Amino acid sequence: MSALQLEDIQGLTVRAHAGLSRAVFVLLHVRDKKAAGKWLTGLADSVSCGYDRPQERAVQIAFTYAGLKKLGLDPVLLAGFSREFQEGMVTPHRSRSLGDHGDSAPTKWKWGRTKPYDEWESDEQGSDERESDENESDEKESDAQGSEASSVHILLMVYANKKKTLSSWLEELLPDPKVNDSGVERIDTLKSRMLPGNKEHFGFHDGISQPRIAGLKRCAAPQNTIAPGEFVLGYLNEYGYYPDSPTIEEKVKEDEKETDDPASELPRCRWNTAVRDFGANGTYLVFRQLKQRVRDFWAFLDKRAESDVPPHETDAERQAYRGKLAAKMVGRWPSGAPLVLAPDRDVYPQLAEIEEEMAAAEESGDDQRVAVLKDARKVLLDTTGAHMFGYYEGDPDGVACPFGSHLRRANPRDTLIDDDEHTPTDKNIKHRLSAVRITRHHRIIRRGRPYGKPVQDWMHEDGSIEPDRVIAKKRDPRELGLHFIGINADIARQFEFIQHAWLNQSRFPAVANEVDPILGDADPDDKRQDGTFTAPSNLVRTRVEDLQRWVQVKGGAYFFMPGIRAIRYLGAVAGAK
Amino acid sequence: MPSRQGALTVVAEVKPELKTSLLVLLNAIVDADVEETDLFPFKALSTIHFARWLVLDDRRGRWRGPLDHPPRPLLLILSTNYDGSLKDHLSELVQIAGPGLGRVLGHCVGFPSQGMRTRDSVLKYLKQHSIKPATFYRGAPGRTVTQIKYEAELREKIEGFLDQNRDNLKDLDPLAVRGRSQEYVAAVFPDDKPPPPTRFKTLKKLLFVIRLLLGVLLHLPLLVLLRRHERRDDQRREAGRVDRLTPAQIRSHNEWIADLARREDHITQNQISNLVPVRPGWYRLVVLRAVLAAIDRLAPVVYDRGQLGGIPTIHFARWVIVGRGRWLLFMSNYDGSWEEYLGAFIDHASHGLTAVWSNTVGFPRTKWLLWEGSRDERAFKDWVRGHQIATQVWYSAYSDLTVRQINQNTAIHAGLYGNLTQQQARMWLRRL
Repeated sequence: MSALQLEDIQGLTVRAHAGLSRAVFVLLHVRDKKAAGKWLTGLADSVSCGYDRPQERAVQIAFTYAGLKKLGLDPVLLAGFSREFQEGMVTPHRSRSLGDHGDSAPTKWKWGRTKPYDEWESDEQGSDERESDENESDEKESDAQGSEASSVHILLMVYANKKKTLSSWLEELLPDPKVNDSGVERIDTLKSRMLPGNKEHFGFHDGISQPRIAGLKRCAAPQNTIAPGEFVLGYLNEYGYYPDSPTIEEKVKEDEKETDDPASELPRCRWNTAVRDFGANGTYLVFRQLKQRVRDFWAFLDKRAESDVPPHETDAERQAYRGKLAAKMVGRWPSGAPLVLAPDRDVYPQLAEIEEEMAAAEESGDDQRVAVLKDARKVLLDTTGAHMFGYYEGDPDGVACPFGSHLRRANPRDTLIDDDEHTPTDKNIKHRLSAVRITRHHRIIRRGRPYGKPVQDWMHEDGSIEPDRVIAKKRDPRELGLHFIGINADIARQFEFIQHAWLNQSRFPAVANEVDPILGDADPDDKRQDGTFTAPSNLVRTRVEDLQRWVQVKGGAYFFMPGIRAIRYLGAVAGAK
Repeated sequence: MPSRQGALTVVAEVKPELKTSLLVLLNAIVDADVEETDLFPFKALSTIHFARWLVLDDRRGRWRGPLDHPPRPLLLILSTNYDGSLKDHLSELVQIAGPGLGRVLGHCVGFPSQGMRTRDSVLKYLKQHSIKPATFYRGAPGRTVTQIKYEAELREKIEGFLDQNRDNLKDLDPLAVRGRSQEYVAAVFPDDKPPPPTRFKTLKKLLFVIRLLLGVLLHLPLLVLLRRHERRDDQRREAGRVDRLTPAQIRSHNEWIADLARREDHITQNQISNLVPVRPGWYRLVVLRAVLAAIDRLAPVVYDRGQLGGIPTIHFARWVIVGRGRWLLFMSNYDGSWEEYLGAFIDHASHGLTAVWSNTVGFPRTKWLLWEGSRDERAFKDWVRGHQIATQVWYSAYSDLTVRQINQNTAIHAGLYGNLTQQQARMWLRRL
């Protein structure tokens, strides 16, 4: 396997910039190709690469297909991108499979409509998925949104450790057009800030169990270590092949006076050294703005708890039931402890033991022992406890962590293949291994960031929330949500597959008529996915009905996040006459 | 006795001058909503699981690779998956859908003209033009449409019963819960009978293994030639390779795929129809027939639990050789998305599919019939999409059930009968 060219791979692919808690995602439109090219060339030096460990600020950049086209990328290269990227996130078929309908329909998005939706509608002849008349009139009004004049071309991701650093650097990167024309216009600036304790707004620890790229020095569990070609173009993937990538032949200089073809700057293609690889060290980046209806989520659970817990029980009993139901739907407790390891309470079973022993060691002044136990605690919380587990041995029937939970759907680990008689036998070990192998083909690196200021009324300093206070409100005080970012080399096989086959499919293995209880496209009008959630038990299962959609899509697009040499090439191409 | 499920494939040659009118008619069926249309009353046909009308267009396919194959034959295919005997199925077709059949098949060569169209002449035509599939696979063997729908309803009812009586049931042991469910079912469905068995006996399996071994021995001499043919195919591929497709070619390939995709993911199931020329020469055709025959016999005996080589999502699939041994047609009804289905192909059934499709034109490079081939994920997916053809009309009798659910529902139904231990009752309850 060839070593990862970290100096060329953008930093976000290999690290989350977790130390930089502030970030803005600037959506840009290229107005002047040539000026934008110059701006890009200048920017390329600031873009952080895989080697950088930024302490104060970082910048990453990605482009839509329309953006690359507008910047004048060669048609041969443009044709080399995947079909999903070329078509973009908004097509009728894609909206159907990603679950972007109802309130989440692209017609209602704040940004990201690449093409007027009714144009697609007329493309889709013979489809019975036509929008109602009401929607059609809607479309016409908001037509300008999807028009060429404001289409998203560039995503500029700027990270910083302080608010001040962020704004000053943003000014530096995107100068006032009156002072220095960068050729790009801001469409929208999506702000974000991390919540304490790496929580998301529903109150759960997010971003655990990321796949690790094989070849990076950091060690991780083998089942989480994935071939680099799943996340970066130009490397072998899990099948042992190179992902498709846009490549171009270098123009041969006819006489000395001609300048060098900028393509000679690009890395050579790994599988065909005769051509240059624009995609090498780059990757596809999926961006979705997801609004979370926090109050509605907890209010629903509370209502359910009220009807399930007999009235003679205490409030504490009801709260515990509500919290457990939420955890069942997520698959982890708010702290991140997975249900499969901590089925009854939000605490790792071994944690108490370790802490007890640690207290004893501290008392007796055994510093060495304390240090060892501290390490053990860290390992438990960060690695083994957080993601080194399967479902097969401990929880084949979903009694601890339901099959339909978000965690088990989004990454089924070793229980993808359902076997009716799944009691652990030799034959089933084979099934388990093949499930592990298959799951590896459908992983993404998540780099999402929450948006919306933490709500002080209900969020503690450590990021945990107080559901009773959430429910006491009539609505969320402001828009809360997540700017979802997914990194993968094959949008169809990774992001779209997870979203469609695992989260939205109402017939996911071992569940019937259910969609993902957190991210799924539950739709009360559709019998096939009317929002049911089943939590198996040793006795009669609990079935929760009439789930709503608590996560609403507000915008989104497919981007390509090129390698740094490719950014320079793009700048040179656009900047040339 | 489990019911027999059959596959009908009627292949009719379209009169070239009527091609457009045929496509217009088929589109009209789709536009009118395939479940409700008067043009072809699928729903009234009680024996049909899935059905499709398909025009094998005479256009060339669009895919990456050499284009050295004949134009497609202009054929119309009627394909159904049905219960019971072929004779009964055909009579039901003619009886109930006679006028619709006439309107569609009237575009084809040799179909009795308006005046001559009697029940018998149409039946005769259908029989004459139906081809036995080389391979036929059933995901939920032995179950009729009626049983499938009934068991789905039964399950729904039991689920509802459990929900409504949750407070009374939640502290009971599994056997007691099952007992209550049995009482409930007996009250609501007084005529309920245990479902017939769906699996083959061990003796039959043993006999089969012996036959399969004999078959493999018989074909051993062919293997001697195999590598030579594969090498030659590799050379041919290299020689005929279009080094770089132009952006316009890629665009048209992408548009082709987008056109296929827009027909997908409307209901729980999806369909695929794929037509590809068999590699020229007698050798490949013989190997292809042998492989297809082996899978055909393997499937009902080994893969009798709703999983074809580990793929748990196929309702019915078939391979048919059409056009005088020159074309291989694949048709399948599966659960979930295309991407998921193709992924399952590669992950579970790579060897089997490579053994079949490596005998056809343009398939990714293969070693020893079983290896490589479809393991080249991107190339394989491109190849399948490139040879996939649009299915004009497609009907599913139970558009919201997966193979897994059908099999689960039968297990729930069967579990209402017989003596169970506490542990077995627990397993039964977990299916709900």
